[in-house]
Amino acid sequence: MKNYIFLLIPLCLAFLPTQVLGNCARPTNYYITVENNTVAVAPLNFQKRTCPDASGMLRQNIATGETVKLADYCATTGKDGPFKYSSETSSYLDECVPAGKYRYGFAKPYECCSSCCGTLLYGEAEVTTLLTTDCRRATGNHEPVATANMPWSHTSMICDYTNMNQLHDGGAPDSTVPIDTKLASNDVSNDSVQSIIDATAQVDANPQVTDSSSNIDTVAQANPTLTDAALSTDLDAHTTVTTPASSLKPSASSSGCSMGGAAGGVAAIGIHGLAFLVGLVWLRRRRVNR
Amino acid sequence: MSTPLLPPFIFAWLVTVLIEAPIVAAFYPRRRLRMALVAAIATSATNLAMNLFLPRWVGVGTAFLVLGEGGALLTEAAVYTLMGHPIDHPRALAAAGLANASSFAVGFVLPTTI
Repeated sequence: MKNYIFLLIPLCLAFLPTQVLGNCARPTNYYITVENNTVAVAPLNFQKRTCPDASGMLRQNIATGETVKLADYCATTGKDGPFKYSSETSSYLDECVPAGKYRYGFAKPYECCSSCCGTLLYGEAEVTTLLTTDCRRATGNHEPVATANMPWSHTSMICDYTNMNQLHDGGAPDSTVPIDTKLASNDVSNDSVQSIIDATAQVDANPQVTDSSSNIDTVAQANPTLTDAALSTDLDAHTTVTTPASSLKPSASSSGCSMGGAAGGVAAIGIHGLAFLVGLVWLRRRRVNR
Repeated sequence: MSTPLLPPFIFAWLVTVLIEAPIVAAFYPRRRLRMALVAAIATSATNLAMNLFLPRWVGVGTAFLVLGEGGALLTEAAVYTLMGHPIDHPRALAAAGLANASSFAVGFVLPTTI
């Protein structure tokens, strides 16, 4: 018994009421499956956000930057549904999607889950099947509507596990966020420039906004000493930016984030459990043989 | 959003060591302190490597969990085998398996309750 008193320490730690974790939990992201021209987007998170979500689900065409808001049409994509995975949450079902690469994510991004292996703004999907004219949506699944509310920045990561890479503040005001997108799509009007200046002013007034480094474009980031007037001049220069949205790649650490749900967790703990059992059986057989 | 005193990966590393080292030590009653120290070092290496470097190569999806946890298990079992004189493969495997299962279970389950 004395030998096992050590085991009390992990038992006590297991009941710590904090976010102190032994291993990071699964990512807060989206599990996306594509079947022909239908895309199912399952939000995977610990924030109890699912379909339908109050903020709505957005789809952005990576090549053109065009953003639409999906209808709140939900499907349980469990074994009875059209897809094999994600019976734990209902999914947004986006039907009759033309071929192309897309980003899907909530209009109001997730809040940072610092104990998760990454919190993502959006997931990516590629539809390769050409859309036919006879494609019909299910009843109640209305056509997506174009939206100007684009809360995503140049990277898919809101924050990562190290909490040293807070790239996006999920709760940031809309006016501070879409700058990268506007610059990227070359859609920078005077209003947009004004919104950038407004956003910069918010940085000055609110240091917390500065912490979420992606909210403000590189202009403010790289030139913290610029005055408003100088910044305005600098932003004028940015109106000629021709960077296409497609060149805005997500960070490398988000490349494999489309899954990592319960399946990964079960697999991981299965490996450990199996190793433990094999070791125990091995030990026992050895004792018997002796 | 509040900023934690220490980055979460530091907390995770500390808690992982505190969970795994005693479990490994319990498997080696005659070398408890030595194996606790060995476990602390091995777990530190695998935990920090997994959380800081592995995501850069394989992302943070299923591959991350399976490769990271599987790699940590095998590495730690190998270290315990080599350091736990006499060489005892099954004991090392059982120790690494239970220790990693425990710390992973805590990390995986807790966020659903907070």
